[in-house]
Amino acid sequence: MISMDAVTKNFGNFKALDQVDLHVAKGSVYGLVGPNGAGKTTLLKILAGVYRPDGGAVSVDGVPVYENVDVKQRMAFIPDELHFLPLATPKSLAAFYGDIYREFDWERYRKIQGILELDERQKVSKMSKGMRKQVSFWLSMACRPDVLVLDEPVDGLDPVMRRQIWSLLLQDVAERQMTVLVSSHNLRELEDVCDHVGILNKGKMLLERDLDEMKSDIHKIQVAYGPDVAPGVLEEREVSLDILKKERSGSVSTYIVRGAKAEVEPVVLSLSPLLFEFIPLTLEEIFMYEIGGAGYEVKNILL
Amino acid sequence: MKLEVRVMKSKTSYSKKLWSGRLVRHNLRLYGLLSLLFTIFLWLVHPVRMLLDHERMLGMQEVGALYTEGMRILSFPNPVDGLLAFVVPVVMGLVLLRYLQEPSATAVYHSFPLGRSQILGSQILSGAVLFLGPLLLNALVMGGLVLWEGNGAWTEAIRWFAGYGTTGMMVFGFALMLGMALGSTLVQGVLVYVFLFLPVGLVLGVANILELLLHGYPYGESDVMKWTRISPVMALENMARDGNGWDRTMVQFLAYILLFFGMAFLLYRKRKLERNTDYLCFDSFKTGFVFLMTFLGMTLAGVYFKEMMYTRTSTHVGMAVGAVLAYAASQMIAQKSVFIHRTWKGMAVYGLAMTLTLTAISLDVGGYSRRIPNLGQVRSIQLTQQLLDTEGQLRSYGNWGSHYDPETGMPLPEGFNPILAIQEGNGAAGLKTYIAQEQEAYVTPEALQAIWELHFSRMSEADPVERGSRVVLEYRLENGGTLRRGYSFEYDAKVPELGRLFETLEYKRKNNPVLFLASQGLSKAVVNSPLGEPIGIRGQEAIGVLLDGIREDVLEETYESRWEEGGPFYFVDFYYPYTDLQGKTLESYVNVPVYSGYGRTREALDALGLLDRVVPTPGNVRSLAVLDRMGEDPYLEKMRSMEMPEAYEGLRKVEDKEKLALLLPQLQSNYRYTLAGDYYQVQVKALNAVGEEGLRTFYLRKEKLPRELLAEVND
Repeated sequence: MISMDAVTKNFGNFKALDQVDLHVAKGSVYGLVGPNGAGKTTLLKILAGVYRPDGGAVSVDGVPVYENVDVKQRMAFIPDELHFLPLATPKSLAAFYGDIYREFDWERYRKIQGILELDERQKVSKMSKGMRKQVSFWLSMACRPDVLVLDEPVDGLDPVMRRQIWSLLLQDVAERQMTVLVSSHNLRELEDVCDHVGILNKGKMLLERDLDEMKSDIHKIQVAYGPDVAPGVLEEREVSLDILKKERSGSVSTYIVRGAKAEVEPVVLSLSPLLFEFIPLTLEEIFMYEIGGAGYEVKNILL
Repeated sequence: MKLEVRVMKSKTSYSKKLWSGRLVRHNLRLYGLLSLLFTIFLWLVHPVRMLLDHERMLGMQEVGALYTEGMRILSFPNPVDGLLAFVVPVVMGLVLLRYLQEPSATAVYHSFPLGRSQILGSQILSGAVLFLGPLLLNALVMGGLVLWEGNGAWTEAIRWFAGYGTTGMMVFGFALMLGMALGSTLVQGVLVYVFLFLPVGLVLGVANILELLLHGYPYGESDVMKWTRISPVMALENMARDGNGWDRTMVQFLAYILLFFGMAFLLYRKRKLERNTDYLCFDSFKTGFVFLMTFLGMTLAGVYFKEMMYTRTSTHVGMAVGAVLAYAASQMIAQKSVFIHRTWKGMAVYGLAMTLTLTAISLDVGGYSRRIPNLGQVRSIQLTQQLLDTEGQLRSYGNWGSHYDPETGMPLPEGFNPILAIQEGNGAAGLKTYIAQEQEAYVTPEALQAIWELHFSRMSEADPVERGSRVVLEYRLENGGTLRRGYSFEYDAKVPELGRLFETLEYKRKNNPVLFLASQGLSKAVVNSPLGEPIGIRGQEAIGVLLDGIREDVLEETYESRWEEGGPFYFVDFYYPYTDLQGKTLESYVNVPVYSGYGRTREALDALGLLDRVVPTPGNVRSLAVLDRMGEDPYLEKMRSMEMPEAYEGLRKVEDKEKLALLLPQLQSNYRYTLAGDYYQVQVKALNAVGEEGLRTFYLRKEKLPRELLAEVND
């Protein structure tokens, strides 16, 4: 569905994106994560057809996006910094969107209005940040896009409204096979909605995987051995284990290990641990460990 | 899902549309207030004023006045319209491009399923409706008013609309085009006006500096001056001055509109939106921008310093200062940073290039100054009229027709020349011939030879001079080419080569309308006697005697005698009747200066029995006093000494008739124009034409004072 191949973007001498590949299947919810300045917003603006890439190709269903009105008809973009036409109300904006988006659905507009409970005659400029965010979702979803590109989409929304918005989005994903590419720092939330994740760092795509697959490839294990097993013996088996992080608390050691469960388990069990269990990793933890491996980690510095 | 199996609405191909109707409607709603204000303003300036004038004109019961007034209001550009045509479209251009200079707006607009051409097309259409709508509305109302009056050309309203609309859309296009290269509304607004005036400023500035650096460079008449016309401002100014250029200017503006809008589309396509808040969004423009601004700053500062001190050194200093300041400022804009010290190499290269160029110009490496055609190649030579016209050195005749209504004293209608209204058979009808040939080039061999020699004499003079009259010689060559050179003449310098030109018949015919008068049909002549009261002469024969005398003197007058005069002795007005616009018969006159050396005129006055009433003689002069030598300001001294009988009584006076007979014929002028030479101011107590006694002032060259009286009159 969405395909970005070897996309490069320079801002002067600064390389914002460097040979980035990204692929999103139809009906997928793809979470794009990365530290500040990683290039996420740039990537999304390129996908939305705002920026022209300096190199590489960006397409939706094999059709280039940049300056392609027909492709843009099938896309909606909610940027991080919202902008509405001056003096606009939701109603006037809906008329505007209805005119330029062929698939704009007034029935859906009315339905969403009932959910969001916003006054369509109120000037958007007079609304709160959260309300303006709701308006942008309202309009975008009424356009019934095939591709929805979101940059920090729920920033400013209260928890109830976040859940409500995500529910609406996922409903479209389920019913219409809408594809969502979302960038957010709220990894907890992304974990709930995304099926694919890409991690971008310093303009390069570190990895992009199915979220479940990603989780199956990295594990947190807790291990305690009997007195006859010297502490740290597991580390000596690093030849067969890819340990990303280790912590010890008394006799219990915690490891972040990369590798399939079936590969890790025999190695640990061969030392006859007294305690051994797999603890589920959150996306945030995966992000931290992956990014940490790429030289971006929390520094234990006390100021 | 495959794109091709998707059901597409077939009614519209969005990508091919040049605008979005919804975006246009949105813009109209958003900026409609601006347009409404413009409409109201135009309404007040034009239709309401026409209505008010209508009432006034009806009250005056002047048929045709409303028509005239209406046409004046409808003429474009009048000052208010001209100003608004350069303000309103720029404001439209700024507000309609704001979306492009705010990152969040840029992202949203360009994520819409609208192509860039479609967005820009919508903004252009919006601007056109917002600007042309009010114009069209007012034009219709004004056209209706003219029809209602039943006196005229409602099509003038269409012309007004076309002129105003074309100018405004051209300025709007210019603002859009520049906006496409800029990332700040403020910078866009400033640079729009800088670049609108840039061609004029640069060309005038460069020509002004060349005048100082390059001997013989004809500032003001040079070929380069025509480049100022590429500026819309100058084109409009020309259009205002020359109504006949209206259609040509419209074509020029239409071409500009196409060019500017086309360039705007092109730049929009190339514009990188991630750079949309840079002052200059295109790297490729930065170098050109910086050096253009540097050149502009250098030129403007050079002109300023030149005009302040009028020396080459000061001009060079000004140019250097202006270049450095402009370079720094433009680099700051281009780099969007005040830390520009790393760009010093560009300034160094520019400085070196300019130093070499200016040195080459000053040394006249190309031989510009020495390039004069042989007379055999010359068909004619045109002299600009400012030549010899200042301070009355040669053209102090002032013998020109009055352009004031003699009954009301008010100026005659603009563009109305009473001479052109003279009927055939009138003695002044020859003035039409004078007007026709006055501005023409010199063609007679003797005049061409004189001008050619004059040119050589100028080449050897230091140029320019601070106090001088600028003369431009334009050679029209046999091969169809032209060659122009300009020089300065000092007001007070005696130039023998100028004398040779002065004494040619062609020069005299170009500068003396009195040579074209005939006594038949002239209504009267009035001698403005230097003794006080004017003397009227009626009757064709008497007028003819005086006219013949003056004409003979003009034809015989030499440069040497004129040079020694300093100024006219008195003036004679020859009156002629003409018919004004309303069919009423009025009088105007040709004002002719008479110099003390005009012997034939003196004889004519004598023959008419008027000499004693015009010229100071022992018969009408009671006494005479010679004041100290003149200072630097003859007018001020004259004002101080005139009509002060108490002061006069305290002077040493000459009253002896024999001595007066020696002194009075030497008096030279009643008006003194030139500062050359040493003069005495002479006060005369004399009887005027009606026998009243009064004090009058004359001037006398020092060497003209009879030696035997020198000790007596000089303290």
